[in-house]
Amino acid sequence: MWVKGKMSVPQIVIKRRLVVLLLFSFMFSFILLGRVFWIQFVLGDELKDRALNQWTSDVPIEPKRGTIYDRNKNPLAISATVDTVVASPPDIKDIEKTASLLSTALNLDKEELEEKLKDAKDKKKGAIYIKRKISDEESEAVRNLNLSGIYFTKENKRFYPERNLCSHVLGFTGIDSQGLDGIELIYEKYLKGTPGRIVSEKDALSRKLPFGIDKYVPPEDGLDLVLTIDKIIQHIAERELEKALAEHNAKRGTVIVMDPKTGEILALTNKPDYDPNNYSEYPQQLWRNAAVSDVYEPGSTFKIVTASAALEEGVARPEDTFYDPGYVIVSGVRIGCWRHEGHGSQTFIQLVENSCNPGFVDLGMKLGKDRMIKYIKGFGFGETTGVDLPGEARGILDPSKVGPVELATISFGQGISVTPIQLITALSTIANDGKLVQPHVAKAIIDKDGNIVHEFSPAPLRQVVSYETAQEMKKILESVVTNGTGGRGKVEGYRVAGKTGTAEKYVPGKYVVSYAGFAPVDDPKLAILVIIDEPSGGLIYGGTIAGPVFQKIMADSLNYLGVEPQIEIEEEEKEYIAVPDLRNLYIEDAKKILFQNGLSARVDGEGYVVTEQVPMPGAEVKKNTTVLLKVSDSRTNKDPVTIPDLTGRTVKESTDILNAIGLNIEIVGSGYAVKQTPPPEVEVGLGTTVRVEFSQNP
Amino acid sequence: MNRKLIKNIEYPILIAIVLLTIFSVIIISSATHATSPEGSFRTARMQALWFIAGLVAMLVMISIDYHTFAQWSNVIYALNIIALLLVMITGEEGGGAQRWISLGPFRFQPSEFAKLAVVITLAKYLEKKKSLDTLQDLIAVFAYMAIPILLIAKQPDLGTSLVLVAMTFGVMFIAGLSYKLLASVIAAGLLSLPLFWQLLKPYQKDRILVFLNPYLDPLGKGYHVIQSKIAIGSGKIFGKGLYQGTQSQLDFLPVKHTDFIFAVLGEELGFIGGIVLLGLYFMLLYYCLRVAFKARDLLGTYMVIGVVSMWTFQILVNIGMNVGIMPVTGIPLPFMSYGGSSLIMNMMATGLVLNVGMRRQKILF
Repeated sequence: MWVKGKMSVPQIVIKRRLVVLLLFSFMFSFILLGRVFWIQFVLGDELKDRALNQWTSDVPIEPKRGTIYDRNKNPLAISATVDTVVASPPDIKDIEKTASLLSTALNLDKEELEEKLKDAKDKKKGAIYIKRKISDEESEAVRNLNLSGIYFTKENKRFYPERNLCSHVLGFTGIDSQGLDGIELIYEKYLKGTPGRIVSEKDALSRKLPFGIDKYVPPEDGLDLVLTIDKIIQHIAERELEKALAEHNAKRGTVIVMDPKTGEILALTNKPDYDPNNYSEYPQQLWRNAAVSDVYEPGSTFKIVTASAALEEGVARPEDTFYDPGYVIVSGVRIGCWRHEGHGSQTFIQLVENSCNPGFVDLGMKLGKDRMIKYIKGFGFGETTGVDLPGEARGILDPSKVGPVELATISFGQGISVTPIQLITALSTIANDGKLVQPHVAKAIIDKDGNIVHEFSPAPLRQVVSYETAQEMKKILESVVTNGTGGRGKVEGYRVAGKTGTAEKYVPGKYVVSYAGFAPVDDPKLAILVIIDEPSGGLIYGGTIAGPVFQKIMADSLNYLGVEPQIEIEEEEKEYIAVPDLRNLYIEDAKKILFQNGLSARVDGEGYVVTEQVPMPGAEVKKNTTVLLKVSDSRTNKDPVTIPDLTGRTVKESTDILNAIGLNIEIVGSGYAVKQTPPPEVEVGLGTTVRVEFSQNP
Repeated sequence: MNRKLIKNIEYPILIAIVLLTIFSVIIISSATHATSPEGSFRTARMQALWFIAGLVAMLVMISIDYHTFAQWSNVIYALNIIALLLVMITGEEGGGAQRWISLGPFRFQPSEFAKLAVVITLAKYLEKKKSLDTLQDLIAVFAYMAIPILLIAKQPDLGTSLVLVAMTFGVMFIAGLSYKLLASVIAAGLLSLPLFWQLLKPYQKDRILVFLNPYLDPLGKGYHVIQSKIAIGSGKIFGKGLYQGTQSQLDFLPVKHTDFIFAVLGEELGFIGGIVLLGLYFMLLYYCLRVAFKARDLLGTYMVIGVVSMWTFQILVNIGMNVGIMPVTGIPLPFMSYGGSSLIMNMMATGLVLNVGMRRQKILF
């Protein structure tokens, strides 16, 4: 019992309350333990990562981005190492002074820089960029300042040595050397490489720990990329396209040059373009690669598809005759021919040569919608070609919206939208014996030692039309060049197949003209598509504007590639040559004339003057025929006389020659003949005196 | 001292505080990088030294019958007020507050010893008071307590004044404060919160706001709590090992050998370390409550409950703040946090508890 007088609190109450207090303390121990458990096991992993992140500073080292080469290993995009200025705020002693000196050396705003440094120091940041990818002069200037807490790191800057050349294929990279467009974007994972790291322990104030671990993980440089692009052909294409745009005051244009057998793109250009070294200074619409991203109405070039389908399906044979009254009526809609009066009666071949719209409507109708769509899709329209360039469009083809009128217009290439890359791929199918190839710009990925890591050689996708149909189409397209609308695409010495296209845009009076073709016909090496958008003035037809561009690119490229000219065409024209009259000529002059005419000479006898010739003058002979020349020194009395070329002859020889053909000589100086009056090839009267100057040093 | 008294010492209490102090010295040595090349065991050694000084103080506390303290209650009360006033006049600043008094070569915190003074004076006051049934009784108690509490709050040391408030309630609860009255005090407290908020200093308001959402200011006022949670969370079951905690070794943790020592323990010794520490505290509190239960008179019970309430509150608030369920207040973890005044005072409080336990028999001779 409690001491008397202190009974106000019964013992039982106290004991009960002590138990309550005990339970309370037990409960809160449990709550605290529960909370510790929660932090350690539920939030644990996340917090552990956070602890690790705080404690190691990870400085990434940029890998060197791979080089992009053309097919002959000419560099098109290279990375060079440049300096980036970094500040470590905890190590800077005098922020104001540092900011002032740096802003002068790097041409930065002083207040802004000071603010930036102060802020970074307040927030205990380990490192901040001052200025990235600076020039050598700036780097030199900052180095000379010798500031504490200011460091350099190496970063890579992308250079495009050919500037605008091939810009739409190459694309460009951003400040962190990340691919943003073109090949740079598509093959980012190969070109980029793997960044390295410097890992060091640091404390809460971002000071490096003196005994912290420093681990250096070297960066792995990116792989090099070889393109199918040929720098020379690319250059030819760009030059010719630019010239044509200027000449016709056109809005823009596109050229694609492709190897039709492999799908390798040798050149691809859109003009106007941009310089990827300073891409940001150009309006964004110039970055757009119209060759794959933009659609256009192909016009007559699309007739290749209709004609091939018609041959393949047997709805027309090359010899079949068609009649064109100048228009055709489909579901009450009149469709006229480009030639108002019509082409009258024509064979299938002439139909293509003439690019006659009503004739193609006829073919389309005979094929019907299903078969037509089958071939349009077969040639790759309505879906992307899968070319390795970003932003490829599919074109516009909605079979559900194709009624009779649409079928009719599509047959001659209107009412359908395609991309340039789709059209050249379809054309290449004909050149490639009916097999559809996959267009591509990457040829191989190689490592630093030039070993091939991966080669891009996509197999043909499918046989769209038979070998026979393809051969027939080649022949027809060749005759389009020789006899039809495609005449402007003719290339001297080569057999060329081609097709023109002209489409009116939705704005009346504005056209897209194009020319698509390949050469040589019997073994196609190049397929070229030329598109000129909105040329102005003069006759606006594909043949007249795009044709000459095609012709020049084709001629120069074939010549550059060393493709032997097939001279058969010329030979046939010049098969017979009239033998010139060589009598009474100085023998050397006679030989020269024969050679110039494509004939050869055989000399019979001795002397300086031709006395007889076989065959006789005027006779028609084949090329390379040998003409027999009889020579002697006996003077013939032919009048007038042609002055011989005496250059390099001695005084005696000159005297003998002139005497033999009945002329006199006036000798000036001695040695070898250097000058004569009258000059060679002039006809003079018999017995004329020729003044010949001689010199010891001819 | 008589052998019977020594026989009556609650040894588990002694064992608990010895183990806690050993724990404390080890963790402090880790928190102060004692093993790093430039580090030293100075701080850890100091804590050990304080413990020995504390043992002496404890012996003194044990040797004097607690009834004697009660008799001197008024003098203790007066000395306490004088010491706190001295702090206000001559005190030295530390950590943004005037808490220190120099006494020769020593500096000590009167607010720590104020706790002990309050334990004794409050026990005596309540023992005399007898009834706690009316509001007037309650007001009388608070009027008595108000002077030390307000003086400490003025330093400002909100944490310690809250400890005193908690102690007052703890002892009153045991002394039979009616539940009805307790409920109305809590209700009144809640209602006066907005007024109380107005009285807070801006940094105190910030602490509470940041407690509610530490990520308001992750590098500033929320920094302590976030870093502490990261430290504890990264410890997992067995911890990273002594001296291996990256958060504590690399100074991400602030005031880690004092207020945030639990986070160091959590990081380096893991969940197991936490269980051991809380187990030791529970052991300490359990045996103290046993003493309160068996005490010879109400005075002894009240004194022990005063000490138990103080420790319970401090452990709850300190660990709670380390694990992010309590706002940041500068309340040390008993026996663990580094600090001479705090450790010596706690040892003296232990002495007081043992004192009550030893003298539980009514008949001494």
